[in-house]
Amino acid sequence: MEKRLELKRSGKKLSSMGVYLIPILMVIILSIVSEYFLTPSNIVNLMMQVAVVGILAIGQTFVIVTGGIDLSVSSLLSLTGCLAIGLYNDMSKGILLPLLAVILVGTLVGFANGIFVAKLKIEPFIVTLAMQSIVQAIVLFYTNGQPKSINSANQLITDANYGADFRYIGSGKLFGVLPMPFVIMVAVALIFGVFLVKSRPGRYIFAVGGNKETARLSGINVCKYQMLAYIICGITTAIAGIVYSARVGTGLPTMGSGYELDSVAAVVIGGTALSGGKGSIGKTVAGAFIFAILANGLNLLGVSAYYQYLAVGVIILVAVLINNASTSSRKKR
Amino acid sequence: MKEKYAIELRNIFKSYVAGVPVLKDVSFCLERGEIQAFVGQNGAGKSTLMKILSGSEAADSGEILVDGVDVGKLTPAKAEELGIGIVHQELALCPDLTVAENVFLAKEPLCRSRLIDQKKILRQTRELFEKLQIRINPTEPVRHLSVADQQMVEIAKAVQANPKVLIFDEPTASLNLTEVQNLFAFIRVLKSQGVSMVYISHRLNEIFEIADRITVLRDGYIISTRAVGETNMESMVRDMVGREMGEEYPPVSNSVQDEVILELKDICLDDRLQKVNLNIRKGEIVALAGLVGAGQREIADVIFGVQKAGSGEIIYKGKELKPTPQRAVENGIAFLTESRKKDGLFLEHSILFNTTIANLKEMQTGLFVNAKKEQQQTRDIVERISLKYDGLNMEAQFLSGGNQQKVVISKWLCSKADMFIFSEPTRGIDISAKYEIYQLMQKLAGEGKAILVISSDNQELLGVCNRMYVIRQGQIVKELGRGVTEEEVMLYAAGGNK
Repeated sequence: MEKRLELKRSGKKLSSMGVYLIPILMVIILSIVSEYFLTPSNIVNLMMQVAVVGILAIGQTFVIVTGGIDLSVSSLLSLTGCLAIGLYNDMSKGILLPLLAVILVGTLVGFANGIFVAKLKIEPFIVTLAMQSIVQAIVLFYTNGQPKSINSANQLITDANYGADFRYIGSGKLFGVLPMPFVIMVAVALIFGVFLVKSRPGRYIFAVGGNKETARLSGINVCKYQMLAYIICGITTAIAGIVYSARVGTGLPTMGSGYELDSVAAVVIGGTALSGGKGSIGKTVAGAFIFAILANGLNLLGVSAYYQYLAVGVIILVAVLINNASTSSRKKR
Repeated sequence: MKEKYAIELRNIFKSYVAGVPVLKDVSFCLERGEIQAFVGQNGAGKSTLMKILSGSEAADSGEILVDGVDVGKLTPAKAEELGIGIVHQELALCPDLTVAENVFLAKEPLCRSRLIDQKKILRQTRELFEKLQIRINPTEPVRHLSVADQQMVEIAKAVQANPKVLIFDEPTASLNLTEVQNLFAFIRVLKSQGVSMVYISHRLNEIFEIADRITVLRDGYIISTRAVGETNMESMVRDMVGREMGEEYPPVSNSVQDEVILELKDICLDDRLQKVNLNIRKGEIVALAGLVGAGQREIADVIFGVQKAGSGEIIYKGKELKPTPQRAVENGIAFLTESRKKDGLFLEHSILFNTTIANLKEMQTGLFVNAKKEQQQTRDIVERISLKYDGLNMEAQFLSGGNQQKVVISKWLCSKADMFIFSEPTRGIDISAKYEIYQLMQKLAGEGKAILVISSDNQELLGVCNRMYVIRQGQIVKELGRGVTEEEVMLYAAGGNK
């Protein structure tokens, strides 16, 4: 008995640590096989690459913990990206107001998802798939199908520095070293990570995902916390959209396509099951890193993009297999 | 024909984790046409033994002989081929298929066109049901059936394969008295046809009624196998627990106070509850007896706000309450549902998580939940109810049934509930843990809590309550004090008395 529990615990510890070890292992291997990997410029590059998926995946984690999924993040990423640039141009009043407005839009889309899932009890997959399409339509109407770039609407302003504050979000460096997108991701991870683990709403989100009926009968307002998860996902998507468009300097109406599954993949690689009830922001970020290091490494090694898709697919399957093996060994009596 | 034994197991060993044996040198034989009961506490090894017998688990060593022939390692398919059938404890039906489709699942007869012969399925199911005296519409989707009816379908499904050996794993757990009698009549028919049966049940008095021999398992060993005529309840229970059992129920606390904590006035719920009036005082344990589905569940649901009453009033602590689960919890009502795993616990979360979830507000300091406070409170509570655990971070799914129930109780102790609704408080819990749960209920009453207890086991209700209401078809038909017999309760519940 004692021994069994001991085994169970050490096994659990190992499997829960594994997801943090893998990116470290990848870094070690890649720095041996590629002389370019550990160069400062590549590290900065990597930090840039991980940011957008990382921020998206943080919100996605909340939704997945409730047992749902949010497929609308892709078109919402496009919308918020284009909107960030568009509003910045139109308002011409610094960055604060347009960015807040963009985050508000993310919140509203999340709220709409939440209403359909929690109140009207439609499958999250269906709701967010529909929302993806609806939001895509909105982006296309808004942009008229054209890219939005950082250009003042007011022709009289010919400031050479126009857009510098906005661009700083995407390409600035904190202390001259850390790329801003990375800093933002870390900040978002810290805030929402602590929120998920330490706050009462965070605990309730775990409860709702773990067992809806038990949660309800424990006096938890299930609807409210389910909605909260989608709202948080909308907010983080908006932040990701801002970062993305600031980095590229252009908002493309389809810039987000594919990101919905990338974000889900990061969460899954981090070891969170789609069945809900469990999950951690730290592991999700580790998952995003695995994702980014893989792409970066294969690029450096000159592996063709065709193989990169293959590698991502394999990684997802392996991650889930490892995760299943560790949970089923725990379950066996 | 020549072999006396339908099945013989020799020196079976089994462990799931090296060094922790679940079965130790188990040998037994099942005679042709015999009903052999297996009893033992939870964790004694019954379920594992049955899994080995039905091929879903392989033994580590030992022999399995069917009709005197060593059959080597069994698989479920091989067991079925050899004529070994099992009626599982957990219902394993497809809810959206019809009754008939379930009975013939994976054994569908085909037409010439190689499509499923629906007519034949229906006809054969009807014939089977007639033989078994089952009155269920074979075209009904299983989802619409009561648990008891589903159980009968499960049994019909096993019988349909014409087994020579049939294993029943707790077949009566969700059946009422009449249904149990029907099942027994049917088991006797099977027996007369030469089917050998293994019968597992926690309801010990049933066993004396139906079994020929009783085998007691404890800690993975077979302790005794005796003919029913040569043993009695006391010696059987002694074998099961390995010591003398004292009283089955702790003394009922005499702590009933005058203050009425909850009163239902003329509660109606469509056609399921009709003008229900009842009250519960502080420190009182009130039982709700009746046949399965008479409306007990609905009364609990209405009090806790899971279902909204059509009309009538709920007066709680002197004020009218229009409950929702949230409001009920905030007002200090606790609901221990009949299925802990389904809606009582967060199985994949820790004891701590499960304990504090209904009262997190109090665990909060500043913005965050205070981990230290949580630990302190949880530790206090689980010690108070003597939970056997291995660290507060242990996941609820790894606890035994009795300890799981205790975790649910800790949740409500943590929420500082004043009124507890216990629905089937000891379902699937072994004898010694049962006693502890009863003790806890009495202790709660002693502290002035009010308790409403619902159970399909009338003996249990009589053993724990101060007062009892009998409900029949949604109506309270009788209020009884202590000192009544099970038979009296049954008469009111079944409608023998007017």
